[in-house]
Amino acid sequence: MRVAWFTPFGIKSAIGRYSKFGADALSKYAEVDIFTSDKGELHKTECRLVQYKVENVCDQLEDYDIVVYNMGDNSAYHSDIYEVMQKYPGVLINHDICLHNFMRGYYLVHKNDSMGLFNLMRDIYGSETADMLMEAGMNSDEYGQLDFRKYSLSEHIGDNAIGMIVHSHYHEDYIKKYYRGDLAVIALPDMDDGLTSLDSSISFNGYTGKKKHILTVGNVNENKRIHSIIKILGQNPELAEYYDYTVIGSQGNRNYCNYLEKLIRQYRLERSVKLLGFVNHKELAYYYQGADLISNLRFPAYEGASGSIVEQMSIGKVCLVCDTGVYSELEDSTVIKVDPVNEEACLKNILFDFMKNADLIRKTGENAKEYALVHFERDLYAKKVYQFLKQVIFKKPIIELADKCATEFLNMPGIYECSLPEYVLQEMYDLFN
Amino acid sequence: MKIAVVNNTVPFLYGGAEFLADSLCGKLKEYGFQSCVIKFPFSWVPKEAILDSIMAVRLNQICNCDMVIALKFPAYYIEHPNKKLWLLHQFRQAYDLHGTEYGMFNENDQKDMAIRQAIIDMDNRCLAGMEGRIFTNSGVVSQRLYKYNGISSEVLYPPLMDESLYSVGDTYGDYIFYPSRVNYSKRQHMAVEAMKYTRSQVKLVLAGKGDSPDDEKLIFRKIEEFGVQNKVTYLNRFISEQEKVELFCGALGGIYIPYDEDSYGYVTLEGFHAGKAMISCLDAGGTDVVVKDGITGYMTEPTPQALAEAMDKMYNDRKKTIEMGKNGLPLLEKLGITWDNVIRRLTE
Amino acid sequence: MKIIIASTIVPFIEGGGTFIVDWLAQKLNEYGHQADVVKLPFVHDYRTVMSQMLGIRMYHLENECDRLIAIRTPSYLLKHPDKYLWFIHHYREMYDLWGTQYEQFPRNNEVVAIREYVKRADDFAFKEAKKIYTNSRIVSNRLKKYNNIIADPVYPPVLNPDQFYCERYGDYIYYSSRICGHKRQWLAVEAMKYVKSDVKLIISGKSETEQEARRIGTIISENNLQNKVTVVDSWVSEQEKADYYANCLAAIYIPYDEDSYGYPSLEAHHSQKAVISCTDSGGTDELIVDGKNGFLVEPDPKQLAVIFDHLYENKKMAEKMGQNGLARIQELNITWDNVIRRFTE
Repeated sequence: MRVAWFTPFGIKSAIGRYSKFGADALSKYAEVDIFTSDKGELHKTECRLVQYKVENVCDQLEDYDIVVYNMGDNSAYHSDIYEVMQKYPGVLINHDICLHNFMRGYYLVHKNDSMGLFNLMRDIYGSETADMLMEAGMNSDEYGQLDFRKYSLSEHIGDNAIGMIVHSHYHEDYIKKYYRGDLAVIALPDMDDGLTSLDSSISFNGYTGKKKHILTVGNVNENKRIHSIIKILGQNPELAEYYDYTVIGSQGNRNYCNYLEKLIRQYRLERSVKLLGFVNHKELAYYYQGADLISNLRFPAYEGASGSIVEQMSIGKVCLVCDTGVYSELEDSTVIKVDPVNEEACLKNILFDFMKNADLIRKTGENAKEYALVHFERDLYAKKVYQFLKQVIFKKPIIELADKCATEFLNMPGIYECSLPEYVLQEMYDLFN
Repeated sequence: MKIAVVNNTVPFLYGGAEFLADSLCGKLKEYGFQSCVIKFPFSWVPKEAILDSIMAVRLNQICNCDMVIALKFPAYYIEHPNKKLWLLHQFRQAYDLHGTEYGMFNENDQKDMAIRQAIIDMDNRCLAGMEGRIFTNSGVVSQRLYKYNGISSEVLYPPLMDESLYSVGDTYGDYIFYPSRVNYSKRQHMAVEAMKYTRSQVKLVLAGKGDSPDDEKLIFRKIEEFGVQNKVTYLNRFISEQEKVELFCGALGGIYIPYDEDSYGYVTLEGFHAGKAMISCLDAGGTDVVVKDGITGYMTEPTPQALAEAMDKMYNDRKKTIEMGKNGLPLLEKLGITWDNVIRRLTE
Repeated sequence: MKIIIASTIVPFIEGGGTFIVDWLAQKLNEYGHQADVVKLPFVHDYRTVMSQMLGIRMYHLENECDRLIAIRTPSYLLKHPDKYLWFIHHYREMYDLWGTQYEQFPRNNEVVAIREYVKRADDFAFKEAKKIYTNSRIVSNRLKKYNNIIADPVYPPVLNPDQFYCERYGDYIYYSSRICGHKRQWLAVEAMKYVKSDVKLIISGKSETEQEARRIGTIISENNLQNKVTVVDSWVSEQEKADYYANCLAAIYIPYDEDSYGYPSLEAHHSQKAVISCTDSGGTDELIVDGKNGFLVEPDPKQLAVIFDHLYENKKMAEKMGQNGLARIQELNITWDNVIRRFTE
């Protein structure tokens, strides 16, 4: 099987990293060529790398059995892929439930077509809502308040897809409402390669002392519930004695960061809670390795899947997650789930429980590692992807035939009032199924 | 060049369209092309079968042909890069016959209307891109196509198949000849009645089987009723081409007076190829294309008296009759009703 | 009975597949039935085969006749409550020729899927049929192997057995067939290099390519066979053909691996002449019993020459074998009586 795998592939791209591992694993079963339009430093891969241009890539695609498109919520990385996908149907690997940022970027930046964005929003949500969304876009505060699960703009992403892969049942439940084709739920593959290899040339002064280390990594935003952890530590001095809390990640959201700093001053946690900002990858590995509890709290959660969880569980770390979204799907014994409705009380109990029973951390970590070994195993991922692609390829002639009939029906718009479409479908079923 | 003539087929039926398809195929071969006839089954009972037939044609493919000439709905939907139409007629029940006793779609039935609309939509879509490549076999068909679908077409009249059997001679007898199958709409009975009113020695010869025995009986009854046994001969049997040629050869002129037909009919062409003037009626439909009053024959009111007058004129003014008879072929030439013209237009 | 014979055609290509359709219709009418023919164009293109098959399903002939006889693939997809098949071959590139040099599909998984779908559609149609006959044992075997269908052969006869007659057992072996590599006239000509008697060879039929005609011409000229071999490279009338058969010593038909015994073999037997064929000719061995109504020889010119000479030296044997040939036709029921009966009962 020859697969054309479209993906961002710069080293800064998380989906690029995903593709590096995914495509390499898949190449055990199929011949995979990675198509990217990114310049700059790219991930390393065993697969053949193809630089393409949107205008003429379709000619090359005829040589492949199937084309795979990786879509995510970032227009700088995915605009080209999106455009090729419109021209040449393939299998969509849908990484994000919410593609609002992508669509905005695609229309406003890539195509300079704000009417196009408006029309898209109008077609899905109606003109009133579209107006509201366009207005909100002008104002970043208002924009930040929107619930993007309601305005994901990903409703039609699968329109041209002959198959779709998502990484969680949560995402499946969401997209099933809009996408009727073949859908596969395949867990993310284990993408660990940096976290275990510590560069001994780095002198690490990260964590201090004998405390248990809580870690949060990622852009510092409200949905990561950092303020909740700080409050719990602040309100419970015993906990502040036992734990320290390190927050690593870009501090672009000044409002929220100011709020956190205020909280730290308020509770006098300057020595227990540190906001470090950005940390380079090699140092980050140390922080991960040394952490006892990693907070992956996200609420609201828009992700279709969490790559961080996979990495952390693979090295046997205990993850704190909100019992919502994709995180609910993880087995109870392998992560610590926090009820988002009762967040602070729950957190308090958890932190106390761990304090009293250190073994709990160890056991949970072990469970996590075992779970990861089974579910995020790379070869398992590759096998599942391969099977799904095979299934889709097999369906392709039928889909093409159905498309051909549908094209004919377009010549007779009123035809759906007659029984012809059902009749044709029945015949196809009789003959080919 | 390989040319396929594409038509419908209803098994066990062989009619005018089938004859034209075979004739065209034969003529194409005469003119040096390779040709064959391809026929797609067409059903219209139940009505949904019409749509099925359309789909079937759209899903089928033809290979190994340089050109396709399609004649009827829905065969003309066949996909081919080099396709021309020589339209005999569309599915009239959806158009001019809709709402009449010959229609089949009930205005009040949603499904019926949907099917009818589907046919119209399909015609509009598939024929729209083909302007310049659509020919029809009569003005009426072209007008209908323009009226209902807004598509223009060129009229290409079907010529006589066996032109070579006929020749213009010098024999002009005393009878007017009407060769055609016999039924009420061909109105042989009116020609018989006209003989009641003729005053000259002109005679009438009818030749052809009745569509039913009753049709033949009607003619014989009329002959008796009007007492014109001496003037009218009715050969109520199938006559061979050879016989027809001979009878035309010896005739004074010909007559063809059907009620409201789309086309001028082969009889008029046969008459002209035999050098004989033709009588027809103003309500005969398409005969006025070739029967020009005073030039190639007489066009009369559809009454026995008017016909009788024309027949007498033919007999009495023999010189004019012969002159008009000899005007027939040149007119056909001018109108392009020749295979030279038809083959050229279809294949260029 | 009102019968429609349905088949598929490629426009402008005539051959065994089309004759059988027309002849069956003609004979059915002769035998007092009402028969008409529906010939649907069909393109063997993997990219459109599925949509064409679906298209064929959409035609309605259910009410047009009492019985439908479907011949060439995939006309048997037509719907009819009383459907009989006279199955002459599959879409062979998707079946027995799959994976061989004769099949030119692009090597991708989509074609594999299409192949599976074609088979499913065929299986579905076979199940719908009331009765399935084939035209040879080889085709029957294929049907069993690939579709698990048991079907008996009903052998197609020549249209007019009466046009053939026997005048005498002359001095030439006769090969009547269109001239092409596949029919291996060149092999018969090669054999003439090795004959020792005065036996001659006459070949008639239009050559398909210049190349093939030249090939044969070269063998003749290079080996000085001009007096022994006559090539009539043109279309020959039915009368002329009958005359050639009537006066020949025996006939020869040695194609490579054909499904059926071929009309020429029948024509020869109707003229009471033995037929020489090869062990790798395929279906000829269904008709020819070696030593009885003909010979099955290795495809080797020297061995063929031996047989040519043998017949020439034993005209009485040639005559006996020729008569056996005529009897063999009856034995295998290669008659229109049989065909009509099987398809109208």
